[in-house]
Amino acid sequence: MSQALANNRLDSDTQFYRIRLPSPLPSKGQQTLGISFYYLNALKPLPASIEQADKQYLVYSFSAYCPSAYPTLKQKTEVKLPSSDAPEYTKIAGNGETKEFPVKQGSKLTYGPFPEVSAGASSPVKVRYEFNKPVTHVSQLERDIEVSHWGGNVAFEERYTLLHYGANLSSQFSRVKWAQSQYFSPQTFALKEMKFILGAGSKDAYFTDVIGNVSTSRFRVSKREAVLELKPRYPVFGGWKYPFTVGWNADSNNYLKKADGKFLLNIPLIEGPKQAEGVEYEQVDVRVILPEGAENVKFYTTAPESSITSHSVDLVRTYLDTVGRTVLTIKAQNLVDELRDRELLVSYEYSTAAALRKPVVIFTSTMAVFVSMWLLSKLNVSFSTK
Amino acid sequence: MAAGKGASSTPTELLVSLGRNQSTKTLLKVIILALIAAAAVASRLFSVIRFESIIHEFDPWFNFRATKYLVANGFYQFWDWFDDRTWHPLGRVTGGTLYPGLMVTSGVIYHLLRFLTVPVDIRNICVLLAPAFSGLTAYAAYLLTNEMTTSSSAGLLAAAFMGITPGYISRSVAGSYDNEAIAIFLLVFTFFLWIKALKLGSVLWGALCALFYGYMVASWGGYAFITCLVPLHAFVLICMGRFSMRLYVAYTTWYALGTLASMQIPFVGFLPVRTSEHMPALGIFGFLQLVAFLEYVRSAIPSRQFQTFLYVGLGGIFGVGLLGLVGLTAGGYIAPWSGRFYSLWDTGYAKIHIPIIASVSEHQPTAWPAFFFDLNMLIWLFPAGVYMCFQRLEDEHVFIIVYALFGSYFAGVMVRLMLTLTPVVCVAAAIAASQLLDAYLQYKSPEIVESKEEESADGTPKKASKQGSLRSTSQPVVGIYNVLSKAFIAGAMTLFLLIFVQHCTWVTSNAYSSPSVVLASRMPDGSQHIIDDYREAYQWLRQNTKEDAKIMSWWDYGYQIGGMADRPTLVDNNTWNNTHIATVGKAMSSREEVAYPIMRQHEVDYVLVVFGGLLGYSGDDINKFLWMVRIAEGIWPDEVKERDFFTPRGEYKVDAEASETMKNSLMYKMSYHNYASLFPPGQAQDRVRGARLPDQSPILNSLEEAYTSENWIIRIYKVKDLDNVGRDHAAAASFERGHKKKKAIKKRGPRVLRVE
Repeated sequence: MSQALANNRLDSDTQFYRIRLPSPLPSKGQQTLGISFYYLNALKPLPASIEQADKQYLVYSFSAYCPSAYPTLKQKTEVKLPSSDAPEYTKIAGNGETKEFPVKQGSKLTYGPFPEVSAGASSPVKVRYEFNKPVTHVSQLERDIEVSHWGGNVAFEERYTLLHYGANLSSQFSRVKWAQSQYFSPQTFALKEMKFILGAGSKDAYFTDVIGNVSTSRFRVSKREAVLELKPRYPVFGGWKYPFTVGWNADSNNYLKKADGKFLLNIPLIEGPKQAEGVEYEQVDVRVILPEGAENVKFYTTAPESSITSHSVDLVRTYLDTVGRTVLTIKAQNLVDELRDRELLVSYEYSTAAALRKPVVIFTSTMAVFVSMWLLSKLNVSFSTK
Repeated sequence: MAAGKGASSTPTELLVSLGRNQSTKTLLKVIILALIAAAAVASRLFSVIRFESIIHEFDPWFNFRATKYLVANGFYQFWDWFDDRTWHPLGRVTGGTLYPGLMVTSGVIYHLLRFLTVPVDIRNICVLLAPAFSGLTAYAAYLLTNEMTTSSSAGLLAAAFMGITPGYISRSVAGSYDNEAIAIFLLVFTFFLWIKALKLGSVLWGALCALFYGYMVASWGGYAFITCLVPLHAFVLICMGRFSMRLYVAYTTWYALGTLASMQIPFVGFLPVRTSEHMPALGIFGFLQLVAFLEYVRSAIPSRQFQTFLYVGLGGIFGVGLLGLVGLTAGGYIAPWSGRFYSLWDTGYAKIHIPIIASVSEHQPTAWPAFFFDLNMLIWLFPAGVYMCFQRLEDEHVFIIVYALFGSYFAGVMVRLMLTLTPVVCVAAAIAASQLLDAYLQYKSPEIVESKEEESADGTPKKASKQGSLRSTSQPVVGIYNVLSKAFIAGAMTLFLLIFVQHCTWVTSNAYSSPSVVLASRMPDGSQHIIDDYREAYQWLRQNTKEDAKIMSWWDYGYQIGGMADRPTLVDNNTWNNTHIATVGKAMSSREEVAYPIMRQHEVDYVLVVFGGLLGYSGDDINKFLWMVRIAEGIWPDEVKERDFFTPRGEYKVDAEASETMKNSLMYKMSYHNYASLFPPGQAQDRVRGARLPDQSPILNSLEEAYTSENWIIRIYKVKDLDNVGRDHAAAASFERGHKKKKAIKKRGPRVLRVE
């Protein structure tokens, strides 16, 4: 169980987390902890702008020592790179048999092992390595999940503000070169395709942007899964932006369960594109729109608690609503691709009376219109009665 | 449609004849009209089903953008809207230079639906507005036709024709969010109200007519058609000696209220009293007062001489009025006819004097097959229907005749005015068709008994045979005795109607349902492949350029860039400033050295051209290029000359034989820049013009290619900034390519030996 400390400042370089051990550690006792964390915006392209056909190199700056608030007796930092092409990396003085760190083995760089290091010590190092893939950054993801009991449907819609944080083009985009490179060497740092793996039974997928449908998408459905393959309207190079919207419907039986008067909705927290090179999400707003009259909304997620910044339950009025639908809004930040399968569980109560409200309202209002029309037609408004 | 006349078999006849005949008929009519409206809407949805819910073509993109502005900022902001994102650097007083009817209609529908808690996206409202109004137009056509004839089947036929005739569908498919979308409904409905007001001499109906006329003025520039047709109808009636108080009341009510209503629109303002287009209405208004006055005098003083004197006086006043009008026009108080109007009388006028009007394809004269294409069998039923109107010749029939005459003329002169002809064709054709059907679908043979004479045939005027003594005025017994001939004619008509439906569907599906923003082609395996280059490039502009990057393109694409790319443009489809357009034309048709200062002065960041050479897309800029040249030549005849763009043999060529001016023009360079490198040497080909291009692509110095869409339809160039070390662009680019600077030694003159 970890918990972000209240006095953390977002603009500070160091963030502190408190970890509660499952059982108190006795004196001289030993406890193994595995801590994993992700950095966003940690990679910078170098050179910052390259030719269209060039390879992209990224620089990662980090400390060769593990950040720790305690003295560390022995430690080792391994850097696993996506390729063995790492032309530059900081070399620091070695220790023991190795004269110089890091030790390079294929695509792995190893700094250490180091002897005892004091608390809070750091040894800044940089690694520059080839990464000829897009550096995809989603600055804002708005994800709406709308549950319909009458339709037996769960509708998903996701609005992405996608940016490429990789190297910019040093000269303008050339279509001729692009067409040729597509033919001869398709590996490029431009983002040209995304793959969304959706739950089984997903249907009616769409891919649009602000000026309408993007026709270069493909939706494949099989028994086990549904795959939505998207191609942006244009290849997205470093510094370029591509906002878009995807959406689909799914059968509510796959996500919704009823247990002792309560409904339990189980959905993935994020279902972003599954890219080999990974995607990072800066700000994620998940809105779960429950039916009108749903009450007692509670949620639980398997995603790291520290990433959830706030949550609220409000009302929103849309199609033919009288009081408005219950909406659970969860704001999260700094999510990464690996958290794709994390679940979001929402439980709520929804009575039959609430379910019948809408048909009754529509029926009575239509009847009222008819009756008033009939009464109006009986009214004589002419001047002369002759 | 025959079902509209109600059931006629014996068992049902008993049921129906129990006094409920009328309500059964009404119910049937309501059902049929609802079905017609549904068919009208459904036949317009081809593009939505095939592609998506998208705004089509060019002008609708502006209307859509304006509607979004209205919805976002409210009515008063919209009314005062100054748009600095078009016509850079001039801007456009958009709120005062548009017809707000369309946008306000959509805005009202939008807010109404939101009030009913149905939050429909404004785009979908805009896309589906035209089909929805076409259903209303069908109903309006039904009402108008019912005023012409007593046969109710004529009205239903007219509604059906109006609903599906391609002449109207051409401007009202889903996504064609243009002024015409609601204007045709308003046109037909205003005419219906006018006929109603005229028939009843009712102030109420006249006022309603004025109200809808005002709505029409707010919606479409074509309101001038009503402004001229109604006075003309009144004038013809007076000339026929049919002046009546009904006419007086209807016309004066309409004119007084309608003119006031029309003057509320900022774009129209004082035009109704200041331009020649509106003078007939004013003139007839005055004329009617005179005639009414004379009628009154005549009823008071029954003297022949006095009458003749009065008529002379009347002619005199009319003449003085006309002279005064001419004088005022000459004096500049009243604007003369606008260029677009002149081109209605002389089809060659625009081509010589205002190339910008002639450059629009829908302002070209109509080709003959277009009539058959757009109206199919209605075009041959139309004269028959007009003839039927002559047979009865009440006041309202005169209207149809006058409308038919002028509508046909205008439709012949300008393609887009086919739209105004279509309603009268539908009405007249329906009258003719229903006459035929009424006569031949009569199950009972007419009886030859004298006493039944009055009710022999449907549709005969009620006046006929009031008295047996006046045999010459009574109508002869008209009816068909032979079942075979009945079956034959009815069968033939049914066949024609079926073919008509088939034709309409085919035309709508193939000719009028392309969004033109998205192109569709077929893959070898028959599946649809969508070519989406426009949106690809516009989206690129929208996302990856500065918010206020100015885009220079030919005016055709101005509205689309504004709507889809959301970037400021130099010129757009509003074409209010010919000089500004000519400036763009000049930049496009001049050499780089001339064009660059023009672009710098206008702060152009990007230049967008449309090039169809790779795909064989013929509506590209090189094919429109001569219009740019002509429009530029109109302002700078010394600097741009159309002749220079042709080869010495007078051909318009783009290959190696193209003239030097052509090859050096910015448009040519931008279109073909880097194009040859896409092909193996010697194979570069322009698929639109079927030309083999030289291997060496044109060299651009002051622009650089910024983006080219997948199929090369849109090419975007970035205007280079000034050179850092003050060289001109040609020198800088030449240096970049590795050429040495040419030494300017020669200019120093020959070397001389120093003798000192």
